[in-house]
Amino acid sequence: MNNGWHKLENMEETRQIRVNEPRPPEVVISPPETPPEPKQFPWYLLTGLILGFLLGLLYAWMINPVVYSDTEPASLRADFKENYRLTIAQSFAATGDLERAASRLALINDEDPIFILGSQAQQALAAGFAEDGRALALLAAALQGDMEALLPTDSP
Amino acid sequence: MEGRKRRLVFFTLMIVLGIAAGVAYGWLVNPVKYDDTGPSTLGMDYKADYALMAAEIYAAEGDPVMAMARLTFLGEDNALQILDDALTFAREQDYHPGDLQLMSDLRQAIVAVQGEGQ
Repeated sequence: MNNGWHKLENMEETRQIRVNEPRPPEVVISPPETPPEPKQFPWYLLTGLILGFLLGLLYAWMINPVVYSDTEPASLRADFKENYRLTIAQSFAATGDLERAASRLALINDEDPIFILGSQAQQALAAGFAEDGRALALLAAALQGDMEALLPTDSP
Repeated sequence: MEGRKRRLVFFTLMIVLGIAAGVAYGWLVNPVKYDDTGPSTLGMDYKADYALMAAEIYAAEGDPVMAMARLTFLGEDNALQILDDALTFAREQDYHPGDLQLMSDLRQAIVAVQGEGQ
């Protein structure tokens, strides 16, 4: 018990002594001066954007591309176009309806339909398909306004 | 730790934004183009017009087998089914009665040919 009392007294003494001591001059420790770091471009954002864009393209072009179900004759493959063109020519040969044939031919969107009809007619003739060649040539001539030249004439 | 989490969130956001931009570009701006399509992908109006052409040629030639071969150009095996679809479309679109008659005549001829084959 006595020991504890003494200790308290000693502590008070110590406290008083500290109060009376002169205060040490305040020393401000400043951090070492370093040049300010330049603000870095957030490359990770650009990386994420590019990565996402590529994933989006992969999805849109490969995984789930736009499906064309209602295409036009103009988008047909070349050999299918030839078949379509021939059918138009045969239909014209059967009906003689030039207006309808011309509007159908326009669907194929040939740059020079008369030239292409003539060229296809030559190919058909060369391959031995005389009827097809004639139908194609007839339509080409009709579009040129020269149908009479191809129609059969009465022999003398 | 807080900064790293923030960066991760923004990184993920950028990926999502990029995916959206990529899909928009791939579907809307520059979609896959089909330059070499087959006749089976043609729109129904073109298919019906093609069937009408086959009927017009049949009316002049009178060859139902050739007409069936022409119809199967549209990409399906069953010429009658193609013609039926075309006829339905033609009726809905109010084709000229003369054109409808030509198609009906061809249908009858095909039915007759198929009946003979069975």
